[in-house]
Amino acid sequence: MIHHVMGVNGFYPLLMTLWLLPLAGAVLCWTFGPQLKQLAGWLGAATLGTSFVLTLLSWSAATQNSGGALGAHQSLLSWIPGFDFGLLLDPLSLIWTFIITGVGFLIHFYSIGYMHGDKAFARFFAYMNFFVFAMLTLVLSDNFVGLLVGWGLVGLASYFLIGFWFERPSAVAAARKAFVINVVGDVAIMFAIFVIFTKVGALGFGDVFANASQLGDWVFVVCVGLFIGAAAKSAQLPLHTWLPDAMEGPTPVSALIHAATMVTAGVYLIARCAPLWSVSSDAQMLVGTIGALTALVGAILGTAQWDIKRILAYSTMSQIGYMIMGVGVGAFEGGVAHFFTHAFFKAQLFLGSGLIIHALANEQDVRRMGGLMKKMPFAFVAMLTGVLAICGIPGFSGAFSKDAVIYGALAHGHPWLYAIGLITAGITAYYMFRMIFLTFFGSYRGDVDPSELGIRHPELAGTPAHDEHEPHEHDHAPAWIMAVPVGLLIVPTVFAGWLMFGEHSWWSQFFSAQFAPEHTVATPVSDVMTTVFAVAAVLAGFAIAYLRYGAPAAMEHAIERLRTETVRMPGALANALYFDAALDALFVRTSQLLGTLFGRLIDPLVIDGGVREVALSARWLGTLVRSFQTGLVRAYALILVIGVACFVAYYAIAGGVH
Amino acid sequence: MTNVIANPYTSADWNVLYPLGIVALGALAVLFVDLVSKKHAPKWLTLALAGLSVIGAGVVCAQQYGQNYDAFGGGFLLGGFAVVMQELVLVAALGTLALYATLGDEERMAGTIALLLWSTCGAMLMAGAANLMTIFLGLELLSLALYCLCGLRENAIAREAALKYLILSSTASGFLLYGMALLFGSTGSVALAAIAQAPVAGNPMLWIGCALFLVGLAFKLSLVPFHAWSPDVYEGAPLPVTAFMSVATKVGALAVLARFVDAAVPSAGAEKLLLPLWIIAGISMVAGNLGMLAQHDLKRLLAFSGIAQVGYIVAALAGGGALGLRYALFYLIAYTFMNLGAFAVATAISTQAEEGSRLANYHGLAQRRPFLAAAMTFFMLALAGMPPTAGFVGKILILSANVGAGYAWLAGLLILGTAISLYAYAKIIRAMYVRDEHAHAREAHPVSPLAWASAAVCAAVLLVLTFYPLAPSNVIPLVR
Amino acid sequence: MSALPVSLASYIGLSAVMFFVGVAGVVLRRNPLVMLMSIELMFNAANIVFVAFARAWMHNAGHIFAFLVITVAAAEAAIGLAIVVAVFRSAKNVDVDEVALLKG
Repeated sequence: MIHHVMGVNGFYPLLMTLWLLPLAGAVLCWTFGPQLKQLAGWLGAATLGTSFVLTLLSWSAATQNSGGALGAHQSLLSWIPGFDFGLLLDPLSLIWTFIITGVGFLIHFYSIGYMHGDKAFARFFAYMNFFVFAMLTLVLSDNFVGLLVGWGLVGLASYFLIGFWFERPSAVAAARKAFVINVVGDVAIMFAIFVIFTKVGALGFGDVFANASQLGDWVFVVCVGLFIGAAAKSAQLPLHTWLPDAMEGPTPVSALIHAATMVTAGVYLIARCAPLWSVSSDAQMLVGTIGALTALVGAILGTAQWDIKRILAYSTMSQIGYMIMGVGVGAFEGGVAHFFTHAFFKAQLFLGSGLIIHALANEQDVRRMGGLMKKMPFAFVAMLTGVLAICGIPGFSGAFSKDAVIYGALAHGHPWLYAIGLITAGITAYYMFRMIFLTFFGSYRGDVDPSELGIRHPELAGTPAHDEHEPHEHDHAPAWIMAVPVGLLIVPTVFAGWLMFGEHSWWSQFFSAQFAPEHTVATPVSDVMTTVFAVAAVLAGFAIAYLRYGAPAAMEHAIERLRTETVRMPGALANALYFDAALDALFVRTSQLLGTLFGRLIDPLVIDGGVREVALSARWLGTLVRSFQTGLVRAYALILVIGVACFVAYYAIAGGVH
Repeated sequence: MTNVIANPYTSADWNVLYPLGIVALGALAVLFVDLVSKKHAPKWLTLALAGLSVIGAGVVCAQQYGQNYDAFGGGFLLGGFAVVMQELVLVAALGTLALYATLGDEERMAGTIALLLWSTCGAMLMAGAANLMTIFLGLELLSLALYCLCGLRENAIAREAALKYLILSSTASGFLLYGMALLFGSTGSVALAAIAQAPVAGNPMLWIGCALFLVGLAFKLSLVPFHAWSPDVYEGAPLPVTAFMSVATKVGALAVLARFVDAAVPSAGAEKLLLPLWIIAGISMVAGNLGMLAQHDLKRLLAFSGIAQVGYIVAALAGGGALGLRYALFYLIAYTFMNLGAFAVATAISTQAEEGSRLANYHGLAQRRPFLAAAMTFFMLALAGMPPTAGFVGKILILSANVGAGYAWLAGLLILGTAISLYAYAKIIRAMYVRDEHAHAREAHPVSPLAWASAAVCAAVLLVLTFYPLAPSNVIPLVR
Repeated sequence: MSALPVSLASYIGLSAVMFFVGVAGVVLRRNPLVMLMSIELMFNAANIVFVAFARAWMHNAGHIFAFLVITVAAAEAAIGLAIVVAVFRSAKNVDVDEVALLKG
């Protein structure tokens, strides 16, 4: 039985505290940054650590289930009629809060080392804490507007953090791109909320889901609106192009925001709106398909990247595609499970890559790495566990959740998505092991001339110009600060999946009251067979990666091979399947009509920022409005008189008709 | 046919005008003090007198809340609606005084402030006006003083603004007046309520009268296509005047429009009669926001923004009845504080030599004045209608009213306009948060505490409005 | 209803002609003084309607309105002249088309 009453009303001081603490941390770091110096980092991490402890203490409140009400509900404000603002901590938001505060704490801790010596150290933690507050607002809100508020605020925090090193033009451009794409999503969600409010007359989750039938056929429209927002935030096709660029931010940001938490907000949104999705099979089909295609395309693009962070970015996109496919087709438990395990192993991978980048003075190009296993055994172990988890090697966390998603697609009657999921698993193994081989095996290529590796423009290949503002120039913080979070993350990276093991797993118990029982169809293959298929695909991917990059023969001529591969990279892959170009072209074409709206604005922005990215030239609509402003009084008077003439003509006719 | 003139007025009639009288007397007191001063009245004294009269009027006006009285034979309707609108005008006047404290020069202070107060009187009169004569009187009192205020600065741009405003606004007044004459001709009364009782069929004079009347109001509200004057005038006028104009004229004209829609429109032809109004409101939402995109001056940008914002408010009236009016009122209140707040920030970063209205003044503001930049960001987000601001609440309400009344196309245009405007407002926000190489050169002047405080108060009020949307329900029955 | 059906129509006709002349003057003339005079014409056209209908309806509100308008028009003229003088203090000839600093 699905519960429409959201949460047991009560007074939950712990809940309010865990929500507001990061905000307090942000304000303190921002205001007293110059005085706090290095303490700002410890303060930022401490607020999150406390929030995490409070989350654990709220566990029983969140899972309480009395009289049909699930979780804890804290009213905060009475708002416009039919709408109150409050916090809702039920199993679904608890899982997210657990990850946001828990993984967030580890990443903050790690950042103390990573950002050590950065001149804007306190500002970084202010932004990060603010992000966590925004993200908690998003997942703890008991209504659509609060969710949208959090949604907008995380976008803002992300914008600031991507552009954190605003001396780099590429960072500024990336921040702007993310901002623009996310605004598209925000407006779509806003539209969906308007429709909901108009049709249902309420905005609280409980009220809306209880009266979802009033939406009638509009439920599809609402789902599409919400999904466009989810797609923009969670980098789903075709709105994914901002995510790889977002890697311009500091690596801990990539780990927390662009891998573990914010980009999964779309998954949360769909899981939260499960009652809407369950009644619209069209929406399920649409979202499931886009999720699967995103998984596939992300994986394909991941095979062609040289920048270690971009490899991880595309893998993030691909893995979120899995999650969206899961929640899209109705396998909510599986989709959320994959979010849960992904948060650990992807944070692990990013933080591990951060160790490498940090040690190699900001080198991010895997062609210029190699042989790092001996130098950095700890980073190797960390990365390897992450890779084993993401590939879904049985026993590691990713295996349980990914197989649940893939099997879920089949169980909900989508064999094609099932097939795509399996193929993607193979490609994932290929590009992840490609990364491992290139990074840790063979011999070190960092001292090889870039041109020998086929890198013509190092700055374009993803290697940022060495830059005095970055941490490597400064004395390093003690190594254990960065090592401890990575070490701690190994535990859930390996074991978190076991929570989902078995017929009556802890996981399905945990969500038993959250989601309605899923309507599955009989499947031709069992879930065990699915795992076997997946493992076969993974082994195939691994084998190809081994032959191409890991085998002794490949190692011997690594430099030549890399050069050949770089030079002969198919245009489609080198240009990310032309999605950016297609979006640009689309904008330019439609700019005759609508692109102008963006063009009028983006152009000045682009000039302001000193970067030209999108060719948006047509601007006549905006100019049309301005062209009336000739500055001549008589012209204005003429416009006035013409307007009057139209008015009078209308009224004369309308009055005469009576 | 009621005979307006023959009614003997009692003291109750005059009591209604107390707030107006206090403001008008304040203006006289300001001039008198200037007259008896040796050279010029000290700036602080002028402002203190004016501020006292405005606050005094506000207090007296607030005590009239809940009273319900048709003064002067229905020429001025005292009621919740009029009180709220008058208070809004007074808030605008008070905010403008705070801006003058930063920007005004002592030599012209007394005259300027007196004109401002009289202009305030005009807008207050419009807030309660319910017959054609009081409407016209209020409108002209407001406008005539504003023409002067626009030109009261020693530069060519200000004078040009005054000239344009004078000629175009007077022309619009001419249309309005002719419309009033036709309405009088077709009903035999100057009362708005008389129009509602007139037959609509076969009465073209009534229809054309309504057309010209609405044109006049649309001009004052600067709805497209009667908007052309406002960007130029806003840009050219001194900053405080622009702030006042952007709020007070709109409050006054909206009060009249709301009363017209509510009381004067014959129900038989209401839909047809008001359709053009909704159409131009819809066009304004889109065109105003489009016009904003390429602007590099805050005042000009806010002029276009104002065109769109008024479009939203008028669209709320299309929601029909008490609900639409209530939502329009809520949005208008929010708009007042958003706009005043934005102008207060602009004033805070101004100097005597240069108004802080060019977009370039905002580059890197977040580094120099983080709190001002944060406040400005908040106001811009509110104007853009983003959550979590009162602007968002207001738009949700307006949309629900529109869709509920069957004007879904207005709701669609509102969403389109909002999407466009996001980019324009984001431009200012972004400018404030980019790094500024010349930050040190700009750091020189201190921020005026009064302007800073005004911005803070506006932000605080907006926050309260966000979480407690005060759409005073008991205002509505009192419009008539 | 009206005791003067024919002459009322001619009053309205006269006022309409005056009004149009005024509107045309505002749009077509370039001298701000003439423009202001044209606006006065518009106002006075309205006055004629007011007075004519005051007679027709036997209702003195129209008369009072006309006086009000005359007062307002006088104030408007005074302010208008002051502004025109301020704008064209330094210019040799008076032409509104040369006043276009504010645009776009």
